[in-house]
Amino acid sequence: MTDRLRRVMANILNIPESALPENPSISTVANWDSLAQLRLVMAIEEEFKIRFPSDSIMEMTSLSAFKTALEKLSQ
Amino acid sequence: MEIAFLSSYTCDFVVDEMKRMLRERGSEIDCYIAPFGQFQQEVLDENSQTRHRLFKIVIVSLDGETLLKMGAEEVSNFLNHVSAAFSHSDILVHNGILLRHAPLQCLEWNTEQSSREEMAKLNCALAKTSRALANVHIVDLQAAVEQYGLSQLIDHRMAIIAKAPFSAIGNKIIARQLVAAINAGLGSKAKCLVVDLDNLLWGGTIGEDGVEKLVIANDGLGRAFYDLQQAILALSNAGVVLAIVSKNNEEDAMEVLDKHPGMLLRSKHFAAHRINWQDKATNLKEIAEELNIGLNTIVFLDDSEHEREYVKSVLPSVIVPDMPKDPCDYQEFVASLPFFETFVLTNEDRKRSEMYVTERERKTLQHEASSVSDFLHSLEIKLKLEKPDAYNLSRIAQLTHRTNQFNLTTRRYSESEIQGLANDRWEILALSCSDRFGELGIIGVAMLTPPANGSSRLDNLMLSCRVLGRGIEKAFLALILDHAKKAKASEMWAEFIPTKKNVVAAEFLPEELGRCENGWYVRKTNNPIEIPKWIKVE
Repeated sequence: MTDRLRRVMANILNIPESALPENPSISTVANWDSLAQLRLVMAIEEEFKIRFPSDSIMEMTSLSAFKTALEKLSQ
Repeated sequence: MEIAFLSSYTCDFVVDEMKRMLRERGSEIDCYIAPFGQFQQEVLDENSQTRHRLFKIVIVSLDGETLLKMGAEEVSNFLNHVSAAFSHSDILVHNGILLRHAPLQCLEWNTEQSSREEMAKLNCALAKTSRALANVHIVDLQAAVEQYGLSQLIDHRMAIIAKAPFSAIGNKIIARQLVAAINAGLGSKAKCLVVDLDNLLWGGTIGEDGVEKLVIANDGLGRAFYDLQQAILALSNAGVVLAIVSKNNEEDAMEVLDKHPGMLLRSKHFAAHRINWQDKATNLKEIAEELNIGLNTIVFLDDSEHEREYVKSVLPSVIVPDMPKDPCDYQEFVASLPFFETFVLTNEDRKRSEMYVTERERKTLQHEASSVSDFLHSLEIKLKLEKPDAYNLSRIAQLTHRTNQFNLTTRRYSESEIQGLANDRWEILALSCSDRFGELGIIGVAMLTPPANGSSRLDNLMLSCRVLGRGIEKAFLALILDHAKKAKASEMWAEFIPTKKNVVAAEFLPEELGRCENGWYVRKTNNPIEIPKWIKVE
């Protein structure tokens, strides 16, 4: 799951996968602004064929937060 | 290509998809998005960011609720302002979509407060305003909503959180409508539809089933093929040239085409055909040569995956769409092919197929005539020069965009640009032609600058390839030189800018004009060019 998330993030944030920090987040990646947040949500939903609840959309601001939310949805 | 977005919602995700789609087709776009909520100020304020830049295309994207709040009159005023503020751009505006499902449900259309009725009225007003403005074009977003369904296009979470109302799929679909419209505006369309016969135009095969057993009629399963023929006929009426490539005995196939009572399309609708047992790639190449068009302007329809893959591998520039498997899905598929998009239909478009058919008759005459000179005299060619007006402006712009072969500089101009140049005293000369076989319409355009220091510059000259080899190009140049003289220029300068495709025009200028350096040529205007004897000028 982490690999798939990293691939989507690299693509949306326009950064090579190897240049992403271990746990990329809104405070560690310069391109990650509020528009990028929404692009990430849409791309991750498409990749994993899921739908995040609306109150989580602006909260999942790091790779680990996306991971936690995805795990919660798959339970 | 620079594109401006004036939008009532957060359109960044639609723009993302447009960039992706256009990049796949090899064009990069540079998008400016007006600040959120300021689409009106951007147009009205002469010092705004948008007003300071020159955009090829301006996209006005307003949601239905915003349009209804503005009302028909304000929308019309706004579009008039946009049209004037961006007079050099093509402006695309889509019809309004109500993003919520009918709020009154059963009451909709039953009371005077029906918002869906209001929306329909406003969309009609929007279309009427746009048609009156030459540079404003409607994009039918409503059609996409009907095809895919609103609930699939909308994401209420994104609408509420980010004022970006569309779902991931919605963004793609809207982007696709806009990209198709952009391509239509640029005139980058395909010219010719080549079709297979067995199991495409009709059900069954002549060879195995025989003529009597073919499935083609306007009821029963034959309706699927009849409907497809109707879609193809509509394309032909919109200026798409039709041709046939099929593995069959020519005689049998022609019998079906001319005599089968269920057929809608007849042999007269097709400008060329190759019905034989040769491979289809070779046949397509021959058709391209016969019609004098590029392989990349041909769309080829064939029900056989094997044939499609073969053509794709041998002729990668031919457009080969993957047909749906079920013939009942053919009609919708062909009617929504994105390659023939256009905003304006010129008279030449309407008559194009017919003109290619008469071209076949011309060629027959050429074979029969005893000498080239006899043939040329027997054609009774008449030429006439026209200045741009409301009737021919769209055709003039179309020629600058679509002529690739006989085109001296390949400079392309939009309708509003041409109008602007004419206002700046450029001589815009449209050449129309007729002969004993009929009207060819406007087949050439030349653009001449007003004289500066005694010389005029021929900015561009293009001729439709169908008319080459009859001395028309020489007569045209003679007429242009004469115009330069009347405009008090003592010299006419012309330039040739080679491209991959305009080789046929390479030897044109050196035959009549003196060669200078860097692709430039010149001729004194007091040294007229002789018009060939077999051509009459009206």
